[in-house]
Amino acid sequence: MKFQMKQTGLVLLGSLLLISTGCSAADHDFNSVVSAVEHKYSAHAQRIPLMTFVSICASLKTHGGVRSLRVVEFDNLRGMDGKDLYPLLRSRLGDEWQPFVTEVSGGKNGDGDQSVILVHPDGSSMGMMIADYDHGELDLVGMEMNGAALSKWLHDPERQHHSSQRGHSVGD
Amino acid sequence: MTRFQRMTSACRTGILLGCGLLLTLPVVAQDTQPNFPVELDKKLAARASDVNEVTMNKTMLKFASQFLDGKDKDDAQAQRLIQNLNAIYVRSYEFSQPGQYTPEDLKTIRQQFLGPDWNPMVKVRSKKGEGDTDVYIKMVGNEVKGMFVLDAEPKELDMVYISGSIRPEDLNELSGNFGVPKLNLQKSSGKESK
Repeated sequence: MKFQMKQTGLVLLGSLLLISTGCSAADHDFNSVVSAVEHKYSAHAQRIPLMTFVSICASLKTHGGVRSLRVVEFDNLRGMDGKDLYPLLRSRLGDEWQPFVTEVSGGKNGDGDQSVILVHPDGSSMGMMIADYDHGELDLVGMEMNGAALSKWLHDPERQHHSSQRGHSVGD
Repeated sequence: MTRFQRMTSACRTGILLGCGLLLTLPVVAQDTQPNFPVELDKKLAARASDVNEVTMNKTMLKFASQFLDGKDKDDAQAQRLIQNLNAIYVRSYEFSQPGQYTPEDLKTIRQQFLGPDWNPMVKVRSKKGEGDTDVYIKMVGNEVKGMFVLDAEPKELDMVYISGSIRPEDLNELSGNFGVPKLNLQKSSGKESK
């Protein structure tokens, strides 16, 4: 019994190590952006506690559709203009990262809030980096999506059946 | 022919074939990864108060199409449509006041679509200066290989460039999806269409 528990523990530890190894490779670019912001603006990134656990849960829930979920927040970024965001991201990420959505509000006369979504297609999966700068606050979200797995999860009839049931119960 | 001569000949053929393939690569890449054709976009972005840019190349379109439900009639139609597209570019500029872009700017944009392949298809002009709309199509042979929509309002300028095989009626399918704004080409009140 004790041996079996030990074995299960080892398997779990091994799985976690495998997941975390995969994450570290995928998150290299994300961490590079975070450290660039930290150095340039002498700011400290606030990481969400238990994010790795949340990421594993998201991966399990979506059957591998969403992986390597990372969220980092910067408060009171002094000296940063929204317009600095895109060049900063481009300088830290390679050419394989492509701009998907760029949104600038406030413009030249405003405070230059900016949202940028960059994607990195890699075979059947796609890395996504979301950066949102708003009034001195910068949120960075990174994730990796597997199109086939996510599509399967989205179009899963059982999941849709459950969500429609929940919708009915809320409506009632 | 000696063995050495045969080997030399084979090497030469291989090198020539390789060079030929390398030369064709940029052409293929250019065809599948076109750039946004309007050169004025950076200047307009600098003047605008709000800017929205959406860029979807073939890889991203292919990835996005996976989320459409093939069993749904509309989604299946959209999937078929996306398969023939190379890229979708959306550029939307909002200005704090009218006059931030000039008629010359519009002229410059329109002139970029007066090449041998491009043909103006829709031209809507407002009498009161409320907004003008232009739709250009790129014809290669008998096939439509691209489409450009320019919608100019006093405080807003929208441009949509779709590269790939598309029929004008397919615009309705894309309108409101994949970052393409809701296009209303039928707005005729107070406007004259040519």
